[in-house]
Amino acid sequence: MSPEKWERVKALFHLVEEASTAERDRILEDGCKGDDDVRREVLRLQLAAAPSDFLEDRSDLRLAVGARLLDRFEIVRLLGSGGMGEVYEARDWRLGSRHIALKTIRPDLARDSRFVQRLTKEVVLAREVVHPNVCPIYDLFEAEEQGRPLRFLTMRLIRGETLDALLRRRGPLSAVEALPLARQVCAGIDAAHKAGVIHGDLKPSNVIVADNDGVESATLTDFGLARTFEEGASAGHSSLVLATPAYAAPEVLNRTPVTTAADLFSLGVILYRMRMGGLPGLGAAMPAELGWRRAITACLDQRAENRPARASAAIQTIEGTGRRPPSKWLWAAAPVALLAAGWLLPGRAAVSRWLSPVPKTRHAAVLPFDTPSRP
Amino acid sequence: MPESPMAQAGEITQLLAALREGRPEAPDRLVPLVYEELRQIARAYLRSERPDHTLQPTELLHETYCRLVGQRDIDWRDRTHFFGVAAHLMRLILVDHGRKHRSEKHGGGRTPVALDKIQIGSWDNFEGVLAIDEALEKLGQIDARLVRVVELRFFAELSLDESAEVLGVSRETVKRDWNIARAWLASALTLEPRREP
Repeated sequence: MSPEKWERVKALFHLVEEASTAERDRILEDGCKGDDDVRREVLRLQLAAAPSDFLEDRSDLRLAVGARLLDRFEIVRLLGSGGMGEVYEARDWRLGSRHIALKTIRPDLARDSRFVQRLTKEVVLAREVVHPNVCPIYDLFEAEEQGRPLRFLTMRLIRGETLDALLRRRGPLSAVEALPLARQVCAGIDAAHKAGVIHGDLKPSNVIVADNDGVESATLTDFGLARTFEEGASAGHSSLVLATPAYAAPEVLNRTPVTTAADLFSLGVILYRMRMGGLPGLGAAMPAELGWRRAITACLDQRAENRPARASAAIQTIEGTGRRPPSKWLWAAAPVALLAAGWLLPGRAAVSRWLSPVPKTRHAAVLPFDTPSRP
Repeated sequence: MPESPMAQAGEITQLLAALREGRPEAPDRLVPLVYEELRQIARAYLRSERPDHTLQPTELLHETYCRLVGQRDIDWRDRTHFFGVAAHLMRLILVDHGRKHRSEKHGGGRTPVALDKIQIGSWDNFEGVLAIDEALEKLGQIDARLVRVVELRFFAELSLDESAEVLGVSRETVKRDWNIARAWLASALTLEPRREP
């Protein structure tokens, strides 16, 4: 494309961006003056730009290091950012300058009173979950920062790295390395479920692994929050699924009511990633150990009712101490050979069933739906 | 070998003043001074791989700036221009680090990049940084100014206002350029064939 044409593309792209939806087509038609290259390029850029919060500019909203909120919390550093807002390390000067994690809530959500109500309810619930493998939420606050209202949550600061970072750093884990972490992740999930809290967006970046003198502990964060955020974001006119598609159960992506089984599906993807490094996909390799394969396949069953009821059942399967799934296995008189050969007959069927919902393109990260809100 | 930091401080302050006045020779003389210092500090940061700490270019650049200029008088405009010069260097350093990481940890293989995971500040996403860098190479053949804007915004984490100050254009212009650069990058990265794990 010639430099002149590119300049026209840029100018037109901007005009179209600024225009209302109704006017866009007309502006594009008028602006490209019959030049198909220009029209195509503007359209292509628009398609790429519109649905994504790719590289979204949040830096102007960030809290500065040293900023003090409510004359109590001092921002120490930014730990990370995600769909809900940013997470900072902060010092709580009212409680002996103890270091905590402070999670800000995106301003567009914080302004929505129905969302805040739901979030409050979920925080109250999540605070009931007291378990070593679940990160405790302390409180929900409202402050004003540079003239803008700001809502944020405080929670325990866990020094460690996310399971996602750990897996990127170390690559796939052996069965021996993975089991203690898996066991803790499962214990956390079961504890939250027992208290009636569903996560809704479990994934390796929500698991923090801390190393205490060679002993690794895993803690789940954001229990109850992800779901609230997702509902909050979808309450408006155009709804987006905020859950991470690769880890989300089919019912989450289909927006049918979500139960604890959705977290079990995500657990299956996490277990798979721990062992194999990548995400499960068609024809993807499985762990060599029978227990792991069975646990993962069971968790990833597309039908929510077929997944294990509790995460601890997955651990028992991994360790080979659980009861075998009944009928299916008793049917085969000599299942041993089949099992040894991997996941031949029953396995294959199960695999294709749970593979279909996993989106294959990264565009699936954003799925628009017409449904105005969830019942 | 560069001179001692104290001796450099005066020179750098002068060069920054020249930069602010728009004298064309300033960046060329500033770059080698900054690069060595920045690389050393970055290496220390990246080597320690502090797991509880997301690497933040602004923090790194700030430390470099303080070390080179001395803590005494930090003028935000000088600091901003300094960041402007260092943005491209920051890109080189992060990309270099990403490449090393790729060859060490993954045996040279690539892991897939999820577009929605590439965000300002996601520096531990090495593949994302490398993918952005490769796409920027291509964008540079079409529009060098957009590359500059992305370097400032993405690799140096400058705000719109700061980027406008560095480029000597309005905030509105930066915003337009940024929007189109994001769109261009998003489409470039999506078109690239993605290897399923």
